[in-house]
Amino acid sequence: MANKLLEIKNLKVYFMQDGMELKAVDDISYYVNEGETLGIVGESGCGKSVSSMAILRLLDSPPAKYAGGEILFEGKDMLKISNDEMRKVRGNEISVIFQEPMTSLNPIKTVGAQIAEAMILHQGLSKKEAKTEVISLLKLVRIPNAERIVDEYPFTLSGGMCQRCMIALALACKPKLLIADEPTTALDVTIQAQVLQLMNELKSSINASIIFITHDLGVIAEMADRVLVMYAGKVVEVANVVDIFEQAKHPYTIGLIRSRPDLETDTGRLEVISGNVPDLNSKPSGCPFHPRCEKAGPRCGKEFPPEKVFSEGQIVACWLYSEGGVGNE
Amino acid sequence: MRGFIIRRILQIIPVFFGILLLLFILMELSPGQPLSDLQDPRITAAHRERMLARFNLDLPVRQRFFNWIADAVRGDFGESITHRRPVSELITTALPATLTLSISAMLVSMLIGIPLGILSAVYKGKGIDTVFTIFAFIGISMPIFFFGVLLILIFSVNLGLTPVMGYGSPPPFGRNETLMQIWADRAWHLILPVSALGLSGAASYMRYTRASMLEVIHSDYIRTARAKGLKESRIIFRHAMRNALIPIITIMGLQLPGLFSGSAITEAVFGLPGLGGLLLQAVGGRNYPIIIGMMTIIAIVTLASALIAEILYAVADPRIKYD
Repeated sequence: MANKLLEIKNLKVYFMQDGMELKAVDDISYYVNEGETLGIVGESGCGKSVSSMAILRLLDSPPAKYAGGEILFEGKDMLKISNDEMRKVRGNEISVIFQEPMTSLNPIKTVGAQIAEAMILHQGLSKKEAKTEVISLLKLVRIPNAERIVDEYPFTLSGGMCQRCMIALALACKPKLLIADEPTTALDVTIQAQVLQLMNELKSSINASIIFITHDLGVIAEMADRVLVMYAGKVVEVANVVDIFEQAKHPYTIGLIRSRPDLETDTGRLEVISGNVPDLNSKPSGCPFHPRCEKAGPRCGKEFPPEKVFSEGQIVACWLYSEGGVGNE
Repeated sequence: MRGFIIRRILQIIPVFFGILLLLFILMELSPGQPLSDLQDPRITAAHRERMLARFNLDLPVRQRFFNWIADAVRGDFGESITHRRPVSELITTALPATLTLSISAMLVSMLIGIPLGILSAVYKGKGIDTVFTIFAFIGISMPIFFFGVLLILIFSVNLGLTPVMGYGSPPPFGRNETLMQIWADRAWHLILPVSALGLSGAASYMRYTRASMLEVIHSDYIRTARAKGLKESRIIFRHAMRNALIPIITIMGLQLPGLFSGSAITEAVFGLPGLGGLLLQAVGGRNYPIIIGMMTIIAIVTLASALIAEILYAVADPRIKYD
């Protein structure tokens, strides 16, 4: 049994808006093992980014509110440690790769200086030592002419190059956990493939755990060991990557997989999940997916189903698999 | 960069002559004229003809325009109709008071406004932000002639701490005093006008800085800086502030020309012998030589500040390069 590097228990993150509590992340639990890549999928606004930004307390608070639960990283609760302790974790033990590489780098500082900053801070390197390190990091992420790029400003680089710099920045202090928040969404498809390939290659050499957030199932298939499916602030299914694609159990997961285009069988129109993602301020009661679910019964609108554990760690939260069923006659 | 500056200056020259031409045309089109019998009913038509001829104001506007340029190139900016003294002399006499007032006021407004704007943005929604925002609101809403008189009432009349008006104590002060004492006396006289002008300027700098800083604070790269584990102070001063101050350069470039003309009201309230008073008087009396002389200076300063702002942009922002 592998060691759990990160364990999230009953995390609740709410946003306060006009005096209302929007439950962006509503009582979720999951863990990441050492050396494992956990993929988190879900539609926009399902809470996948919020739940991972909460790990480093990077959400602006207010409006965000950590309403409950624990985030245990190597046994320490990240929601309880002081700001000073938190800063020692950020960029050092846990680092983040953000979605928009072009805007995530400071436009008026050279990329080298921005990467070096983390090393100088956490590893106590001198400016000169840090620069040498930065150059070798840039080479590691396959940036050509690293010696020249180190002194370039972000606006002179392409999106793909900026994202490589962001990866270099994230790897600068050899973190134990890497949070990749849709790192390829803003890139075009060929660059996306290159960056994914790079990350896959680095995965083995850096020996870090990765939380890979995306709404692209194809990316998940390529990157993840285990997959967590989120819907409207809830975890609806967790399974190994193979099981997700071959024997998904939750109607939402099944719907997601069906709605992917298939290159081999030309079936004409893509299948869709009818309806829309619920707005956070008018979230359905019970299982939030029930208004869009073909198999929903009366019980689904009343309570959120308990987790049902299948073999090999496949966990599903759906009344279909729980005692009593969906409540049909 | 040097090539850019030279090219820019070459571009400025035709713009400058355009402004000058427009100025002559607008003055010709505007109603009223110097030595009108509205100003002095006793004036006779023959007398006015003679005076206009003496100042060459009877010539057609086209000719006056070229004459003025020809004279100006030789350093002759004409003679004031009412003062009977050269325009250049009148302007250089009034310049020191205006420059001292406006440069000190500009420094005061930047030194107060920018830090308060940054603090206000960092503590957005907290008590300190509310206090500063109210201060800025009052500063922007209160007209300077009211604020100035209020200051005089409080500090000069009620408390008796500062002089009511003037650019220095009247003679015999100054005959036996050292230069240091004269400057100290001048500073004492300028405290109120500089505060009045500087604080209202600070209010607008504060609002611009706050808005710019708020935008930067919520940008992605500030989140990246935070995710690196940097201290909040380093994030604000090293990452956010420099980005936030780039747009402030524009405000500075726009305010600079105002320094030469915009403090007219303050000068009037505090009885300072500056350019503002000279200009207002000249416009009222259609004193064409002075109006043209002053407008020339303002035009040159405006064009120069635009150039300075452009150069500062390139210094502050690596994304801007001129070649």
